[in-house]
Amino acid sequence: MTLRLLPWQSDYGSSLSNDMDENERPVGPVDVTVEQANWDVITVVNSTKIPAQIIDGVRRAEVHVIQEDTVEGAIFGLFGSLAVGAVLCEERAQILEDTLRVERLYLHSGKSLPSITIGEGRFSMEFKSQRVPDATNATNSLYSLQQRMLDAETHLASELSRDDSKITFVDGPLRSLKSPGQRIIGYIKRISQWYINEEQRKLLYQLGINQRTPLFHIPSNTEINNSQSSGRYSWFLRLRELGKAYHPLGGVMRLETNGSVSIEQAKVLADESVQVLPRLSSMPGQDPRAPHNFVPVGQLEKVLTHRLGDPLWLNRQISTFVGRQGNQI
Amino acid sequence: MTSYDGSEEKFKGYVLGTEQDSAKPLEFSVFVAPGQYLQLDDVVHVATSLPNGGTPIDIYGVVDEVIAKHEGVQLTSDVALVNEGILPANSVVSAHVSVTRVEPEIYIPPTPGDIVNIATVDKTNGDKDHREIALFFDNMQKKIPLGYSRDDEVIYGNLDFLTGISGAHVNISGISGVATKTSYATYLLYALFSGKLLEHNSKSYIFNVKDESLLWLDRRNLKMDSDIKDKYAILGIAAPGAFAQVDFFSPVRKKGDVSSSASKTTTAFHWSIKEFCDERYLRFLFSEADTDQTQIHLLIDSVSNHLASAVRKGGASVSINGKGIKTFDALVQEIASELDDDNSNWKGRGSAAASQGTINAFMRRLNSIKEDVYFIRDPEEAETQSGIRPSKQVNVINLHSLRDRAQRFVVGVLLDKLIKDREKGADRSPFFLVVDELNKYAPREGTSPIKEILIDIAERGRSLGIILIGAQQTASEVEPRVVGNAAFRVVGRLDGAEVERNEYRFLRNSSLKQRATQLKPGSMLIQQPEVPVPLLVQFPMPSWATRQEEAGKAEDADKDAQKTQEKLDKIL
Repeated sequence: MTLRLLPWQSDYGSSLSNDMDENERPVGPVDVTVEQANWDVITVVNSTKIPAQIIDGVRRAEVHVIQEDTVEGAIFGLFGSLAVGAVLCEERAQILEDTLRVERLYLHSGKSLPSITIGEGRFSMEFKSQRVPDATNATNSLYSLQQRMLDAETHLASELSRDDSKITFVDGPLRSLKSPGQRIIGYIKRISQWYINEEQRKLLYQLGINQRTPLFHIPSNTEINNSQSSGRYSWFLRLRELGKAYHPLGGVMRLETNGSVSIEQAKVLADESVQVLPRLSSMPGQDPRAPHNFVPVGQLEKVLTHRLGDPLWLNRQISTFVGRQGNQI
Repeated sequence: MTSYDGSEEKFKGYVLGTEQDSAKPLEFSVFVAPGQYLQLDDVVHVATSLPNGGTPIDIYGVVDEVIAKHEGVQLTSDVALVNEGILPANSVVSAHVSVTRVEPEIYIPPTPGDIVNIATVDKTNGDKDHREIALFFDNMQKKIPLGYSRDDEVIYGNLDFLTGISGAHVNISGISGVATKTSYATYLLYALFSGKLLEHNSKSYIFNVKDESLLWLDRRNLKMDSDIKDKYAILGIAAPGAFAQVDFFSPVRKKGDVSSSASKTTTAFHWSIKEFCDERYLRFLFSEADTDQTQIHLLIDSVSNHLASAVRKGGASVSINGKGIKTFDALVQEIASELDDDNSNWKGRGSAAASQGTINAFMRRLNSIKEDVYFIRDPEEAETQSGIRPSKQVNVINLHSLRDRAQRFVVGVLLDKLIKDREKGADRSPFFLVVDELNKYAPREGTSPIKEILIDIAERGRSLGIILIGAQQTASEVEPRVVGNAAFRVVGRLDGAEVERNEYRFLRNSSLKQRATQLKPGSMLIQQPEVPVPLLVQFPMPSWATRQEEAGKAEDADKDAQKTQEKLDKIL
């Protein structure tokens, strides 16, 4: 018996979250021959630096509350903050200050409410009230905050990807992206679905740096009718050789782009991802989700979290507000 | 870099209030906005106010540390990632400020976010000079230019703390050769005398113990160029040149001629046997610091008493047992025979009499020194006075041809005489003593007659108008009372081990201490009583010659000095 490490810090789960021998959920026929007939490793020789921008977001539940109402009874509410932004990696890496956005939300499942202003003067914060009918418990509230963050990321991605002099990388699958630009790639940090069968997965063990699998096509879910209607092209690459102690799949990542681009364009994007991403990947010790959380993204997350403000301070502000005025909402 | 004028180049920083760099009443840090800089020794000003828009408070300070870092970068190797364009990071600069003054004295910290300015003249506020206030120059009724800062602004000292009114004495430490201790001491004298900062009859002794560098003070330095003149101009010295009033004193030669080749104006000095006996100078022949030789000191006292009474018997000259004594050699012989004579009471009486061992030790030392103090003898025809009578402002006592013990004798005798004269008379005008190698004259361990005198001067000299400008390589080897009484503490380049000693605690923090080990010639750190932080001061190259090659002709010097004098007369 041999043990192999998975690289993420255990608090963050694992980059491989599915059953290793899981049978694929039916997503329609995955075509592994779209790029070439044989399922074999593709080596990318070109090593030019390519400008890339990566979008990411953070969210934080500030305070959970219960709204007491004579009519509606007791329902859950959540004060939450989220921030999204982008980092550009060209000659130097820089946080794109103009893209940074912070939103404060009060999510609840009750009747519509006006925004809630907390604090005074320069330090006041407006929490936009949003009614989320599903958010009837704390977990769902948190989930809807996560969804709001993904929405904000998507929004920023569609905006930034219009500039096709750079590749735009988005955290997570491209599924919900509306009218994105041509050069956009989604990267999936946590693999929950392989899309390729066990036999094909053997190729992943052989991948080296500068190498990727051939493209494979994932058909769209029929009910989604947007830019994704033509499905997605996807591929795997190796971010980093982690050494013998780690499981070989620990350094592998799945990527995808729109099925609406031509196969030639998709090949170029896949090759470019091999040129860009391994250099940006983090080392174990550098980031809790190394190597999948890219170094510039780790920094972007720090900046975004910082923009959310000090959690203790916010908590105190909200508690004070609720303590003084909670009954008057 | 200007300030308060609203221009784009105006320096602007903000008071920091992070967990790590919180603002305190006596120290705070400044975020230096991108595209600007603060450097060590910059003088800054923060205008803050009490809460609810109350009393405005001016906080002043001096930058003593500047820190640059990548923000948000943790790992050592991250710097490479930043340069490779992988890790986004900002370079940020912050500076640490030690507060020098708070006006009015309400000690609150500046509010984080308050704007920090370079302290300078505020044109928008009635030309209020914030730099002067920051460094307490506004409180100084009489000022001496201690030197200039690196941005060519004068740094003043309070003259009252130099002339004995509020305090006295200067102590200078530093490594020989690079610390420019003697140059700085001489510069201070020049600033005092040429600036007419003193009473008319102020004088000084400079002991020239090493080379001939102090024997050209009366000559203009030919190597002085317009740049150096500009530096003097900053200090308010319009026409730098030679010292105006200088006398040089050298010991007589054995044959009676003047010893030094340096200057035609050298005056020969000697001490007559009569003065030697009368003033009990014998003890200064035994002035190497001893710790356990109490017996020999009793013997020295006893012999001194008998020599003094021999003078009274002899009247104009000294005679012992009817023999007239003309030379030091003869004197030593008489002392020897008295101590050898069992019937003589010179060795002391009864049980207090010195043992033969003590007498042997005493005579051994006396015999070994007699060749070195050949200048103790009765005058030959051409010579008139015994001792040294200072009449000009600067009196250079040239001892470099003498051996160490003879140098100590001269220094001891002159200091002793100075104190006695002052105690007798009413003259309290400042008399400056420039003494190098204090570690030799007032060592930390042991006792010696000169050390006692120097402690006396350090503790009491102020009331007599005697001001010690002392210097040594290492203050840690000098009697603490001598160093501790100095109002002005000056360090040039220090040895790295020395700077860690307690004597340099006034340098406060490790950054200043480190700088003390890196000071270049011509740069000193100065602590003075009213300014709570040591200031970095530079002083110009001497405008007087320090070597024969630099020396202008003597006539030039006279003319130059005259011109200087005239110009200054006009200015003042």
